[in-house]
Amino acid sequence: MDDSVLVQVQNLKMYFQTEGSFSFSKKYIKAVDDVSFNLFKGETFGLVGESGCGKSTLGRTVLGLYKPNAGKVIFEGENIFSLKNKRMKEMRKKMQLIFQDPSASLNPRKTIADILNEPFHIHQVGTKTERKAKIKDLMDRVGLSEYHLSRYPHEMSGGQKQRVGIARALALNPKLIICDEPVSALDVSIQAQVINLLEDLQKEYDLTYLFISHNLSVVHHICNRVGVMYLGKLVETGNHEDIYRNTLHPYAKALISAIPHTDPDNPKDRILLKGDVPSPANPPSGCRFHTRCPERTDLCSQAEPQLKEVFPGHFAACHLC
Amino acid sequence: MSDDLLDKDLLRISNLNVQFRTSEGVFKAVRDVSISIRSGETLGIVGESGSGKSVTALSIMNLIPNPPGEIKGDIFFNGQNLREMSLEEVRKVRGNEISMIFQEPMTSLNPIHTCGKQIMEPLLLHKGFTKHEAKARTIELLKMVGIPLPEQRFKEYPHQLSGGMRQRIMIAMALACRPKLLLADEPTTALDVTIQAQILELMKNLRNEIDSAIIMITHDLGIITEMCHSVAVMYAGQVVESSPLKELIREPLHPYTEGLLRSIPTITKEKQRLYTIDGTVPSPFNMPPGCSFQPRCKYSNAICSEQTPDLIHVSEERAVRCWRHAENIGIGNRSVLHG
Repeated sequence: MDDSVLVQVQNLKMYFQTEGSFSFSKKYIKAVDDVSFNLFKGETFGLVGESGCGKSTLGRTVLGLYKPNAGKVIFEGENIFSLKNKRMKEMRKKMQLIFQDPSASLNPRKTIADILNEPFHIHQVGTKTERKAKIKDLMDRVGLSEYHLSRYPHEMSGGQKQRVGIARALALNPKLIICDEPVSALDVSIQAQVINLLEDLQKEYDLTYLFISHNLSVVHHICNRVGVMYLGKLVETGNHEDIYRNTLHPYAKALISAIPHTDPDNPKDRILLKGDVPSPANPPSGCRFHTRCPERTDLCSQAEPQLKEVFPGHFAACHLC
Repeated sequence: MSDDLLDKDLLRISNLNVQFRTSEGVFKAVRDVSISIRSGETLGIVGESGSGKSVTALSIMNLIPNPPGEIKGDIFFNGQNLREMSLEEVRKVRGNEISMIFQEPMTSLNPIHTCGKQIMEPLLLHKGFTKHEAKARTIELLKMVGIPLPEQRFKEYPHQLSGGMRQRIMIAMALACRPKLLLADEPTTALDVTIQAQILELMKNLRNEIDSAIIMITHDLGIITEMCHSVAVMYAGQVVESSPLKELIREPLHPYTEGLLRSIPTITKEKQRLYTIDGTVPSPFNMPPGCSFQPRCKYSNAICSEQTPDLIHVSEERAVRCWRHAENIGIGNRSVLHG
């Protein structure tokens, strides 16, 4: 295996059963349907798409929080779904998650010190004094003072709570951090602070981020590579320059053109998509985007396009590319 | 202000103060806000959470419960002072000439009534339509906001619709009586970018069609750039800068506006470290003395922590609440103030 790859995701399928208890009557929501990509060491891979497209489910499945219907997640050469529980627990130290809503992801009845002690307690790492020193160090690293250790989450602002969430994710020196919309609940001025913090930490601890967001400007800023998802499928992946400047897939084009611009002198042309995202329980035939696609042909409603390499390192799933 | 200026303004708010009495003390949500807007214009109000944007809008609609809320100041709409009207009179204006799109489409619709019934309500109430006429108009409205199968959606309940559809129902409801003034409180925050683009386009078309004025409340500067003619930036309950859009983007005057503009990542900017405004918004119960932004301001000076700056006009259309600019045009000369 290539040494620079940290995680390989291969043909991952994650379906949620919605109704029916017999095999003939079962219905599924195909949240993630046949997704493959690699995460390289030290990079930030951005995952964008509209709500319900399966970004978060994909992130959580990569962590092994869901058991997928098919496919592999190979983390440092081992498929995490074939590991025994004890080995899996070891593995979990190396992968952590930062949640979207900092208020909902911290236990309101615990102090910040207790919250940060939890990863050490669960994994039985360090003595009491070692843990204390490490927690102080973590607080310092994310820009909080020792004074906050005895506080409860409700006494802190949204930005501070998100910093606690980041400190908790860092506690066990992970290699991979899945950031699930880490800044979307924060105000603009605080958002910039947290983005800078994430970038600093990445350099310092050599972290790999899977950055899930619907904010394309933030993704453009922080990510090296980007994957665009639509209804459970990756429709385009590539370097961030490729995705934003040389967009291939019609959905990605519409998504990027929909970003509100901040230059009043150069209003840009916008591709307006018609209609809503179809339900993932009953996705359209052929290309899943064909119902809203401005460039569709007859072929699109019949055959499903595969993700193919159009330019070196730049993949797209569209019949027209 | 001269009389003909008054006539041109569709809405003029002067010295609006809103405070809430809570167990922790008096919370001044809006302090001395004065804004005005003309027909056909879009005014953007930007600010972080807790800056008083929504409370300003709710005060215009007279939806602040009293107690705990206390409103002071005047709100002139079409020359009439809304604050001096009786509830009966306000009800005739509200939902008819002024309407509001609320922030969360998920929670602002009544779950036990069908969408059609909710959109029909203002038509039956204000316009005296018969049920039959109201239904026809509602279906027309649903088509206008781009909802497929309007006859069927008319009969459906809010939970049967997606977030984007619910927001469009809210918009249809707000537009039912062709309001002269539309207050949009974060109308697209809960929506995806592609749906957001649709909704913004829709609002622009409606503005052009019925020549109404829109007050757009948002924290997204991108939406402001897209939609608005002029902007009021709010911080800790005060308007800190008001300006036409292009001038604001090109040359922000207040340090907070400057920080906001520089701290948002955009896809046109080169990748570099983001500019940050240090610190956080002050607690409303513990406001810093002098200028509210002073603890986070990189230009802050001795005077900033001593006296609160006034909103001063630096040109006919631009105003800023900052001592730096007060000095530039000779108001609030430091030696005089200290003497």
